[in-house]
Amino acid sequence: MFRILTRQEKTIILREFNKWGIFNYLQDKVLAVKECENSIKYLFLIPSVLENLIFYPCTCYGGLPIGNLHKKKFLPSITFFNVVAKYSNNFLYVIVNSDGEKLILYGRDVFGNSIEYASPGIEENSIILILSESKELLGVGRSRFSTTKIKENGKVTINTLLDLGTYLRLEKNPI
Amino acid sequence: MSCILLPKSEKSYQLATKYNFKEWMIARYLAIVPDTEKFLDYINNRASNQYIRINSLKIDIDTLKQKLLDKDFKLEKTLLSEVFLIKESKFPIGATMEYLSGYYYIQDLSSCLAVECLDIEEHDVVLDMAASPGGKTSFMAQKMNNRGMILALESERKRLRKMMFNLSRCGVMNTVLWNLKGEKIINYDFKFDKVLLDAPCSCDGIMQKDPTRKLTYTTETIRYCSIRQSHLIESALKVVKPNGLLVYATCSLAPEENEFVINSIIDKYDITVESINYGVDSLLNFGDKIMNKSIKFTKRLYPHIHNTAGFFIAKIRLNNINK
Repeated sequence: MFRILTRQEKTIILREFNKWGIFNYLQDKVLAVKECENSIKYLFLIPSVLENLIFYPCTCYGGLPIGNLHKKKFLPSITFFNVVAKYSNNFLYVIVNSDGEKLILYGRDVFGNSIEYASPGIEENSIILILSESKELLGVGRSRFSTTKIKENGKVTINTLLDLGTYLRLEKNPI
Repeated sequence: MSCILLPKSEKSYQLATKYNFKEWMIARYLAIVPDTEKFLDYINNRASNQYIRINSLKIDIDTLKQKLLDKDFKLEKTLLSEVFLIKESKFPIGATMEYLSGYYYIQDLSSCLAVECLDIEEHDVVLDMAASPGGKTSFMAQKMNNRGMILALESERKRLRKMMFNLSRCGVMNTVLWNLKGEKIINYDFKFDKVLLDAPCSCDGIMQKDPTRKLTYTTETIRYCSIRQSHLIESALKVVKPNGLLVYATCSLAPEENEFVINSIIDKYDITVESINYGVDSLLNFGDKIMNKSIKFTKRLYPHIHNTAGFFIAKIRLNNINK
């Protein structure tokens, strides 16, 4: 069953949108949460015009699935980062070559020698977007090194957290 | 509506033996499918065509075309500017970065033509009555540029997952998915500009892709499906706005699931069957059943003629409901 967010849940999500530079993307949209039996709260961003279709017991999906809430923590989905990559300028990223691209789509970590460019400001444990040579989102990772060392040869320098292959691997149970 | 069985003949026996079909099926195909032997030869001996539909919600057509050409894909144009036939590819088309990014959807041309017939406009309110796996829904969202609204219904729980995956992958935003039987939409107070009913069917039109259908296809399947389809189309007509459009489609070749279903509503509702620019004319008679003349405006697609799945499409405009 879908419901609107509590004030506390809303605050958590709005902060995340603000942090990633996509606060304006919320305009004309509503946030809704779907609570499942496994106690996971799935979050959806829904155009306002769809609002009167959402809150029915038979609704199982609507708008964009942006992630889930677990113990007051927002865990964004790859769809959320697609929005970030498209609408924000406020994120850290690396660009990987075609070999790196293939590995990431299989959920593998990123080697330093696959990285062609790293944006300034990356520190250890930064959350960074992993982009292809044509700047398309491939995944999201956590850096092990700062910008200056992230291209180090022969070492895994980014741990992949989410990737486009997630769509395929979660196909049997996406929500 | 029971399945009509036609007299068997020497020809039906020969073809059934040669192509390993049940003879009653061949006897029917001889009356339904033009150039029947060529059809049987085509679906038995050729792999089905693979089409992709470029998802303009995520990328423009020329850019993706170029990306695929760079990966040594060979593409051929079709009737629709967004849809391409894959002539050759070095990679499985369901595992490329472009597929995972939602830049294209693997979808038969016939399915896309059904959506094309709906004349979708950006701010329409649309109902997709049997939506999973979401190919047609996402094509409609694409035509609406993610505006307006789509209510997609899917009754089978296990099919919802695939649908959710496809909608999120393709960046579809203007859709709400309900786990509900299509017939039950009449219990809600909604009216729609456009309704797509790609009805659950016996699926003999996709036998080329799934040869096991030869064995599972029975007269009972046809009977069951045609009854369900009649209920669904009546529900659909009750939720279309006056002057709204309903497109009815199946991937079945059985007249009981196609022409008969449309024929049964012509006298009951104030509707106009509109003409379609694709395919060949449907059947005006089958067995001892004679159809209303306007059935000729509905169309059939055949694998050996149109290089698609076997498909039926009817475009129906509702003037006024009067039971």
